[in-house]
Amino acid sequence: MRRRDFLKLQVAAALSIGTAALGLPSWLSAGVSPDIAVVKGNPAAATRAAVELLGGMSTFVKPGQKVIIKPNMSFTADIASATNTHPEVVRELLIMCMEAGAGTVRVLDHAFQTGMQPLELSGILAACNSVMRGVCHNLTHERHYHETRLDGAQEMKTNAVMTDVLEADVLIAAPVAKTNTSTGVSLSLKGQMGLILDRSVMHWRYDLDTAIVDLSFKLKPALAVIDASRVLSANGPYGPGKVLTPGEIIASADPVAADAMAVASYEWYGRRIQPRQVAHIAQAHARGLGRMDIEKMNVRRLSL
Amino acid sequence: MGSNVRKIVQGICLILFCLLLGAADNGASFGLPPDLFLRSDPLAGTTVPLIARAVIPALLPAVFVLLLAVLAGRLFCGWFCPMGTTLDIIGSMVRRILQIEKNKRRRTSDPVPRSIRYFALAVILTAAFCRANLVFWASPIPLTTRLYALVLHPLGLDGISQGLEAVSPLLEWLGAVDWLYWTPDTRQFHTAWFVGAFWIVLAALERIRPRFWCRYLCPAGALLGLFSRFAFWRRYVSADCTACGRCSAQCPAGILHDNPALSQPAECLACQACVSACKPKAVHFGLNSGTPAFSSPPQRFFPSRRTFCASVIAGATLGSLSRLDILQCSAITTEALVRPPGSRPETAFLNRCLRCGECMKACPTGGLQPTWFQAGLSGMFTPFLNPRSGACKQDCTLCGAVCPTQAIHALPLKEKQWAKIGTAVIDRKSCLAWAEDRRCMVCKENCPYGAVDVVVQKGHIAPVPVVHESRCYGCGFCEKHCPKKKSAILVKSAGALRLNAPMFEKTAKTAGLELDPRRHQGIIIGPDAENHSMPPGFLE
Repeated sequence: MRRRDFLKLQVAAALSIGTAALGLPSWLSAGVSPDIAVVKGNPAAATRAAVELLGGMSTFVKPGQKVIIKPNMSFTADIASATNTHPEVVRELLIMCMEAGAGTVRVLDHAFQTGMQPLELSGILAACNSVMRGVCHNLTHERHYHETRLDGAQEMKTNAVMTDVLEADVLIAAPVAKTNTSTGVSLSLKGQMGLILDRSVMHWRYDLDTAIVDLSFKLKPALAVIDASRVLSANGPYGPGKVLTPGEIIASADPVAADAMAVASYEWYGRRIQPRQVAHIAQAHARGLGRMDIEKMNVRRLSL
Repeated sequence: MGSNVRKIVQGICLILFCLLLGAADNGASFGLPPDLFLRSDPLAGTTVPLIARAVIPALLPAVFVLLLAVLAGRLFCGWFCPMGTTLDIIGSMVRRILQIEKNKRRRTSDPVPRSIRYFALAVILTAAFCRANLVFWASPIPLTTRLYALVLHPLGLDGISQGLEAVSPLLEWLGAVDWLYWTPDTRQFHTAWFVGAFWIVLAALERIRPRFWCRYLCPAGALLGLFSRFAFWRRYVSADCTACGRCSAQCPAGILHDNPALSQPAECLACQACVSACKPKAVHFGLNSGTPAFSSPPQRFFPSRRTFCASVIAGATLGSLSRLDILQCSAITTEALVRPPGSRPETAFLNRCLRCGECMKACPTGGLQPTWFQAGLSGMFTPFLNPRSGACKQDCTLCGAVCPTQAIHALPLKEKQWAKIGTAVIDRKSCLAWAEDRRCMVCKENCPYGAVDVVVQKGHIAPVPVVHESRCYGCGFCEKHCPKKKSAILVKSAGALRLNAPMFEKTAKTAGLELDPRRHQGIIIGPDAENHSMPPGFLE
């Protein structure tokens, strides 16, 4: 751990002790974590604080475990375009996983293009390499995938999933919040399409929304951290489109709840949208993958 | 000694050739033009300006090769030509595998007449006078480039990929994470098997005679032979010669069996195998004229007048047929054939293209592929964009930069961005949105030019994509990513700018094209907030 990271950890620890001392609701000090954490602040600190609110990374990652972080890093565009996850968010998650004692951490995506260029331009490659070399990869070759049965699927019963993901103990979804012309929004559930080899089949053979939920049953993230530091509120996923800057990080152990929270929190195409208006979120709720009724859930907000 | 020096020079040249070719797709070329060897091809350097009726400054190195022949004979063939070196390597492998002993007396008779290559040369040159390009069938450096770029390089990468997969547990154990995930950018090229088969035939011919191609078939060698008939630097034999025949047994050109003392620069590869083989050290290469040990009239391998006339007629006929073929093909079949950005008009393009495959090797996405018969027999092996294997990147200018004959203009990026190569057309009968009412906008998502819009159309539940032709470059990202098995959006050559003078920006702007991706930023698709229907992708 570098000095800077150590200091950050200290700050975060002090922060959590400090906030506790300031008389937080009893459920937090009693060790009851909220269902959803929404933290406003600079991307790295907000990411750390959001995960700390959920009980810290050690709640999700046990020593020696293999962890996969799935950000958006497919688009050859800069940070301001809001098409890729903020590199600081990914970097902070990576550091926290290391702190929790993870055996192996990988930051993986199946980008639209082969090669390292999108990873470089998104800034995520450099951010990961600054923590540990060789963890961030764009897997486009079929040799990194393994044909797998998707248990609990209604339509897409099989696809080739990244071998690393199949071997992993913990999956962390770290999408950027953005619109998608086909599925309304692209958040932690939709983002799981970047972990399989053949995405096309989800478009042409299956109902896309059903297939996304099918996939999410197999590849359900243990932790969803949605980067809403910038939100591509229109013309996604490629952009360019109107970018909002809420400067927030939404985290939850329930990816459906995290997605629902993100949908309800921001304007999409200049409008308020209910989670139920996003077909794959509504279906994930109906099929019991997670909950979208965030109004009934424990939400903890923090502003740094 | 001289023979060993030659092998070292040959090795260095082949390695340089491979390095330049290997670096073609990242622009690093050690201060040399990436197509240096192609530009040195004496046959291409002679015929292409003749066909194009233009001086092509890039082909200047070929002039030096011809001058070298005047001074020192076919030194190029024996020392520098990557095809010769490749054939030497293949030949020694073939002979070793078939256990043809190195020192066994080689068969020295000629199985086919040596005049074939002169015949081929005359055909190609005559066709060039008739403005038809036959040179790509037999020009050595393009043939070699094609072998390395389209066959050996992909095979090698695939081998590495397979190897890495095989040792992946070991890599994991060693913690070599970068190697574990490193996947070479493997790509496959159409016609690769044909190129491979061609070289297998050459390998088989090596079994019959060493350097069979160079001895009997290579028209570039014939051209250098013509220039080197009176070479200053040549082989001399002193009176110490005992006529033992050792040199004759070693000569890869097979020209010493009748008279080991006779110097024949037009046939001799200047390899100096005879110098090494000679026990009494009677053979040397130099400028002075030692007195020959034997005197006999030089052998004539030149074709007869009758053969020469026949080759001229053959060349003229083939040339005319080739031109007819080009005319009728460019009229009817090129609709689906998208040429690289900055390509000259079809006839000029075909006249210049050497079919070397350098542009295909350089293309970073693997989108440029060789044609089979899509462009007619005369257009075989020319490059075209196959978006399904790779689209044309908007920030890349490599294919033109590496083209030795400028069949594809070398354009600065600003100019290349206006060199429209085609237009995407949506097949409404198979498009998921148009034909099946499904919410799919993958083509829109992938278009770098903002040329695809999704619009609400009467009679369609889902919004459907439409192409703005004036904004479409023809890059093919839409076709590449269309989720249909057979893409429902296809790039056609319609609207492509094919110019002899590289003024693409001006022409494009005159034609009213809007190929500037930055101009389309911030355009919001879908209905705005006042509209009562939902934005794209959301339910009511």
